[in-house]
Amino acid sequence: MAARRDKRAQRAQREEAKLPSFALRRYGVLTIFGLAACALMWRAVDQQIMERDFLQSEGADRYLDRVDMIGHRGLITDRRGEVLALSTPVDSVAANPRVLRADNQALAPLAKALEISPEDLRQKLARYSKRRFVYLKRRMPPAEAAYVMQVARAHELRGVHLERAYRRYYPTGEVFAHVLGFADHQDAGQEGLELAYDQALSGSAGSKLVLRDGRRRVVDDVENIRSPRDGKNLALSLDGRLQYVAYRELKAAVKRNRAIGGSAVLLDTHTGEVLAMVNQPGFNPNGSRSSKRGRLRNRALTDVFEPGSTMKPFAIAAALESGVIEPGAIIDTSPGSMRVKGGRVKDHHNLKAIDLATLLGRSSNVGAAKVAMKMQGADFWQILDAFGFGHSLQTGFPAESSGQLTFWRNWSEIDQANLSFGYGISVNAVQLAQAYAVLANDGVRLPVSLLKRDGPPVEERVISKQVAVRVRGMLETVVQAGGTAPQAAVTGYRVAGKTGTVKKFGRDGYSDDRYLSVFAGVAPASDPRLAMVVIINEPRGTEFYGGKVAGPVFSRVMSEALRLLNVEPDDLQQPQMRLAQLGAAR
Amino acid sequence: MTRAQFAWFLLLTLAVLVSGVGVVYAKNTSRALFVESQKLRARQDLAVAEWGRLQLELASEGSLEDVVRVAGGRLKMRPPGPGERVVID
Repeated sequence: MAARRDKRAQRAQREEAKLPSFALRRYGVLTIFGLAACALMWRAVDQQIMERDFLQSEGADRYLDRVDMIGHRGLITDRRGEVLALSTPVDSVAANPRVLRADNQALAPLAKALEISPEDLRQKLARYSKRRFVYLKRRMPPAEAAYVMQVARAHELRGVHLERAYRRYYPTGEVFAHVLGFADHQDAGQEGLELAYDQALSGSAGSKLVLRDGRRRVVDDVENIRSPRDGKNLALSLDGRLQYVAYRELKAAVKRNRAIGGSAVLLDTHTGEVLAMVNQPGFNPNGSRSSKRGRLRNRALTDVFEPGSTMKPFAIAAALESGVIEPGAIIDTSPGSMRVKGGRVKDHHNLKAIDLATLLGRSSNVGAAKVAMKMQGADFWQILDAFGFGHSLQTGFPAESSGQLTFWRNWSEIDQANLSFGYGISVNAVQLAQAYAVLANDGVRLPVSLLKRDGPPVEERVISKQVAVRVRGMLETVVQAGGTAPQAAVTGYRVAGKTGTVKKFGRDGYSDDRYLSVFAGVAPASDPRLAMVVIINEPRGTEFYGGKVAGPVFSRVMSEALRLLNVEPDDLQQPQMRLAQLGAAR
Repeated sequence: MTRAQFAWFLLLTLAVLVSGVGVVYAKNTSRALFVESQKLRARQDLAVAEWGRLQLELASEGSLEDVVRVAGGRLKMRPPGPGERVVID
């Protein structure tokens, strides 16, 4: 029994001695696991701490995106708040031809929604199949574009998306075209006030961070990076109603007289604000904007001309102001022409001995020249300079011309004589209107403004009140029977004005058959509120005299303007009008 | 660590926690407000588009040219003649 037990113990001892030792393997495995754990730990530390920024930005690139936010361009309104220019959103439908294939069976409903033929759409997608972007239809009203997207979604068409932009509209069309100019398809000013005030009108774009899904669709807004800023609104000094009347009458006159163009400017003499400014030929700012025949030019500010006889009142005013003649002076114009060193001055008729009112009423060149020659060149120049001739109007309008008034030291005798009846000097229509506004405003010059004024402008006295009132009185004879422009009279109001029929200067000197017909005047003459200049360029009808061609335009526009502005009549001839006034006063 | 130091430690730890929560809260609020402002801006865009459309409609329907045409044509209106004007002071 004991022997058997010993035997078993020996066998067990032998078996135990035969078992291999696993210690090395165990340590080996543990070391590998330990190293792996360390490596993982290190990688975790590396990714979480060392590479954190890089990895986060890489991740963000895949789902975050920076998107621009558009700042709206400001409105332009007239002085009464009527909208003249506004930007409205438009959507362009674009596609990715790599995703939206030309062989897609569901293109027909999309084409129908886009209002193009399915064949055109297919061809377009096929033509640009290698590109990632193509416009399917540009500048649609947002509602129509939304419908297109609805159709695309309904037919599960992928690769179609919208692009938002803004388009500038000009509700008044041609009427304000030259003043406003226009903005291009990126809403940036290109012409006119849109260009002059582009910086103030245009907003600045902002940007934001958005979340996109796997198909690059915006899921949510995340963060504001920079807020967009909307542009400022611009209130013009112009009155939409007066502008329309001026536009209508000028256009009709240019057509009636078969002229090549024309301009009209209406100023408020109390504030210096421009109330209407129109030109022909015009253009449609919402349409093709062809620059043919200089259609885009705001001639009233950009084009200069010799003012002709409309200059005479300033020669008379300068002579009265400098004291070289008396208001009751009689000028002998016989024999209807005179020799001046360097040339000759002529009248159409021999008007013989005339007073200053007749000189202006019958428009005598000889009379004006004789008056001008009495003055020292320096005095004459100084007063014309103070009227604003040769000075920029500082309206900021693109390509505004400042005209030219030669310095008196460079004048010869004939230059001084010619200047008195408006040759050898160049002005633009607004400058001439401003000079007439000085006569209207009792001799005080106000700066011209195309924007509505907030406060009173800086005044500058040019001539005394007495001289201004006297010259105005003389100018009333022009529109009376026997004057050169009875057609410019306005019923119920006294008008002071002057005609001009100016020979155009061409390649071969002064032309004998190409004229500018001009009328400039103020009303009501007793206490003027408005000054206006009308220019008709090269009338080719039966008439070409300023009084007959430009005078009627002045009369019609002024009549409407005085009525619309509720200016009290100062020439009540009709008994019932007086009775009504008496009745109201009682 | 003295009692006073421990108290400072606790206080500053608490302050760090509160400011951390404050940052998270402010960030979240700003995001929520921004999302809201974007929704309102989208609505504003729609309203502006609609207003612009209505302005254009107003301009085309109520242009002075049309008013003058209708007044002179269908309504047979005309400006008062020289003897028909009455001035009321």
